[in-house]
Amino acid sequence: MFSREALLTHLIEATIPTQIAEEKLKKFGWDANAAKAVLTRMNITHVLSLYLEGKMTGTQLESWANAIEGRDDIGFEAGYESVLSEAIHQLANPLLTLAITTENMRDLAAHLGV
Amino acid sequence: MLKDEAARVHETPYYIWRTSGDDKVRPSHAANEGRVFAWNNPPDTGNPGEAPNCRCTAEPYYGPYDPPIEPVYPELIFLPLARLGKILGALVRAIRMLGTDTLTTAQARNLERFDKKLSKDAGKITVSNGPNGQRVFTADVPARNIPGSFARYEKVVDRAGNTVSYTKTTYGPRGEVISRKVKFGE
Repeated sequence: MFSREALLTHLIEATIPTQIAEEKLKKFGWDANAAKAVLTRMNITHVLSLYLEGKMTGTQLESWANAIEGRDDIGFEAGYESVLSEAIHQLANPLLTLAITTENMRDLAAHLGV
Repeated sequence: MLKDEAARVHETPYYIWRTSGDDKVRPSHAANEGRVFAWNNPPDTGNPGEAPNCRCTAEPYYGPYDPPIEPVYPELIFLPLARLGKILGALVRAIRMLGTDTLTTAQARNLERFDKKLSKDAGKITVSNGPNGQRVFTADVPARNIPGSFARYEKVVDRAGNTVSYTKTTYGPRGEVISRKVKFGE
């Protein structure tokens, strides 16, 4: 049985399907006064590479970002909070911000500078 | 003649001020033309005929009497308007804050977390009342590429400050729902 921290880490690292991670995380509730896992630029460039390599679809990428967006228990890498917050917002809202295309995702990965 | 004495010796306690109607009438007396005064409560000019060379007369008045209304000067209008503006401003602020001032401490902390996680493009968060002491936090994030489209983030928080549900609904430019994502609850 996964702990909340372990599930969040799996979600962030995309090592289990997003839908399963979300489902299992429900029992812990939404709220957290402090981050229990930290999203880094490396985590995002990793999922972007999965997309660019064809191992993840655009819809899956959007769902992954949606699962992370707004969570109280996921913090952002120190010093890059606004960059990561913006990247997650873009990926979770491609219709309103930036379409998930190969070119755009390459640009985003380059912007993250890892 | 003393004022009370004037009131006693006249036919009625009240009169209508009449001027002689020519261009020699003093402006201050012309302003009294047609107005009703009481003999024992005359205007600043005194009763008709009292001022030196005054040719004005008093026409007996038998109707009801209302004390004369003083002229309203602009400065007397602006002062109450300025006060009214302040009152309205305070009222608007109170309406904007409606809901937030009644948040429990735990709800207020949840609101802070909600705000912290929103995109920098997010508009003002509104707080509305839900059932059983619940509060609903709502914020819209406009689209960058489609004018009129936006994502609405809505979080329902119970009295204890726990998140009951959190949804994101994406709207098209005509207000149509494009997608709805339940992040938590429901």
